[in-house]
Amino acid sequence: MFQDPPPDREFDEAEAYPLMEQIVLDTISELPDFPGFEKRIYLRPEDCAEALGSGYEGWVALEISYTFSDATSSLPLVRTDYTMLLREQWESEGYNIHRDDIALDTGRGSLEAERPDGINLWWWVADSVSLTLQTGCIPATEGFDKPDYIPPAGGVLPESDPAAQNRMNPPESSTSKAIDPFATTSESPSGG
Amino acid sequence: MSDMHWKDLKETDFGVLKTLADQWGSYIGEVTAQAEIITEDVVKKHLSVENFESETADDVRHQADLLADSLQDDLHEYAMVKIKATLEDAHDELVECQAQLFDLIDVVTGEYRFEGGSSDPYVVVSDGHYERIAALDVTAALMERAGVDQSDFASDFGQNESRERLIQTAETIAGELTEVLKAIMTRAHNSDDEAAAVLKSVVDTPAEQPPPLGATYDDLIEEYEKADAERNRDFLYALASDESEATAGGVNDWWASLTDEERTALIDSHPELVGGLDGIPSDTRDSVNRDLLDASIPNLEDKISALETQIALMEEGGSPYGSYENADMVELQADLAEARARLDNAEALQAALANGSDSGAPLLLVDFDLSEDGNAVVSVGNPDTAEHTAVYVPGTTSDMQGIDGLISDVSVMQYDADKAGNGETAVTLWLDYDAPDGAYPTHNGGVDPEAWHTDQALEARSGLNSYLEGLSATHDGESHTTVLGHSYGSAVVGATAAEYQIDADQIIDFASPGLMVETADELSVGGDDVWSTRAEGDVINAAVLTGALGADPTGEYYGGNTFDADTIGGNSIDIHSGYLKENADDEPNRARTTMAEIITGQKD
Repeated sequence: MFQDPPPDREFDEAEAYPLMEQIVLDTISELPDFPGFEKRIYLRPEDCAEALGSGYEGWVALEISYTFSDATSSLPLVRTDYTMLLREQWESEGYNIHRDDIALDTGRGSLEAERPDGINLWWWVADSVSLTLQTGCIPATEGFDKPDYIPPAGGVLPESDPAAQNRMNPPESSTSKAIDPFATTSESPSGG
Repeated sequence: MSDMHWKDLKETDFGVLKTLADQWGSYIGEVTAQAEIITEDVVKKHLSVENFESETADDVRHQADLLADSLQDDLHEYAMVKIKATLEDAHDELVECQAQLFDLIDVVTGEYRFEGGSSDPYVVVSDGHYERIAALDVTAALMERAGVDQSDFASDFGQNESRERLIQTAETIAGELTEVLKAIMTRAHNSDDEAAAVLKSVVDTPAEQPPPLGATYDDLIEEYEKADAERNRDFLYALASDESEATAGGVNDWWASLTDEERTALIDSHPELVGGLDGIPSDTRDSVNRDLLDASIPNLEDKISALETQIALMEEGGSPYGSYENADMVELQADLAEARARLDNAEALQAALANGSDSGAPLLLVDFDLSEDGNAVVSVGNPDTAEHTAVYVPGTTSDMQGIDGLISDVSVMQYDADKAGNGETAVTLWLDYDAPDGAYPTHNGGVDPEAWHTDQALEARSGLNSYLEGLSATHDGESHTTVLGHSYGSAVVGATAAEYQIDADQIIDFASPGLMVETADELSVGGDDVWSTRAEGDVINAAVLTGALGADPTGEYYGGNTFDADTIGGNSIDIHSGYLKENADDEPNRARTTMAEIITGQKD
């Protein structure tokens, strides 16, 4: 809906990417027996002025997502257990769960929660299962083109990482090898 | 000229033509398999370089390849097109004529009879009919037609006058029936003549065969291959012409029948025809079209530079060619403006392709045209190999200058479908029509914007249908295809699906002013497979209310399915363009999710 003036935000475009990647790491660190994501995708930044008018000139919206493979998506652990755990996790964190249309009979649907910093978390259980993060409109960073390489969370292999191929500056050579899917907690985008 | 008599048409069993055509079909299948054995087993295995290595062996392999290739060409051109298809066409046409003749016979039986030869058939009143008229024993229909009433028979005078009028009327009817009989026989004669001409051409112009190996082989083979290449080029020209009646499926069959060398030769000699032909595989078209696009930019820059130089020289008072004529200057300036517009379009398209897709799926340049507003067909993902394909038709104001945003739109759809899973999805942007430039009453100071009219949607129909047909032909195995239209693009989709039995399983329309039909069942995918949505506050509501482009697809009585779309945008115009955007209020964008589920076959 129409927003005017733009809301106060705690971070800008350049800061959003590492922040969202950290959120993914933090989120999956609480999911037991995590089997690993298959793919990471970054959407091209969206110009908020196009959707919301000139009041949002210089604001962008970012969206990144992680998807499980078809085989992994079919596991009850992912489809059912993780859905329940994420609902509990987001409730306990005090996030605003503003959409929960996961069907009781099929387990299909969406669970969405907004964090206090305005980032939206979207868990979508279709044939595949995915975790998507959306910033909403945030200030664009002057002179910023795309983020420096951030290793993907949850075991995504380089060949399944179009985000790194298209939407990031090239990675250092040492980072092009496969990532250990079970070492996610040590791969902080900040290097910690 | 056919000498088929009406008795021949009545008594002949034309089923024999169909039987013969079927037998040719079996023969074609068997011989095609033999030709493949020659190329795949004999040449590549038994006669391979590993087994036989010498110049003579090379010649033999080449000769065997040529023979097999010639055989396949002949099977296609002669056996398939000239014989089997001709027999089938003749059968269908003559059976139709025969049925019409039987209908006519039913009408005339007892009252009229056929006379005359094969070239001048006619209908006369039968003797029995004359006798019944004399006895005033006639049908009510004839009396009514003649304007005769039972009361007229009360007097001798009335009876005589009635007989005259009834006879005149019966003879008039005989004249009318003659015209019907002649029309039937003319149609039958034409079919007979056409079939005879095609079949005679098989005898008159036998297929050329490769020269035999021997002393004259080197001299003859070059000539043979040159003639063969010319035949392929002529056929390509014919397929690409506006008059071509070939289907995209036929194009695909022909392309598949060519050897790699023949395909390469055609791409080298006529890339613009290959790149634009529906039915040729998408990755081939992409490769050809990217080369054409890359080459177009320096060519246009050179042209612009030459035109600018020429104009400058003329403006200085005299051109290198002599006189300074206003007409030439005007022409050059028009050429310059056109070249600059084309260059702008080429650069916009190239930049958009360089941006890539969000999901990492490759971008395929399936078709493009740099003239005027510019057109392009760009696919995110390979539609020939993806389990699910979607074809998106954008709406008003879509043109090459906005191609980056349009590709971004299909990239979002493909990204969403990719996340939804159930196999790979490719989404194609189909901007191969002249989209309206304006939708608002005050556009360009006028009160009659293009988007209120059906013209551009109607003109787009055959192109969209051909693309979908081509997609079906080039797809590996069974395909699951969805056609989407946004705004005026949905009118294009609807007009096409109303006119043709489109090669698609489902239709999605969003922000639609109407699909140029009154009910979903008028669309060839069937009402159960039509999905519509419109967000609250969308400016398109104003157009929907006019009904100018058909009934409201989200209306109660339309008969399709509807799904929710969230209102995304600060005003009614932004909302119209907000269906694929992230919701700035962090509310879900349900339309994107639902469209992904429909495209990937997860929504019943």
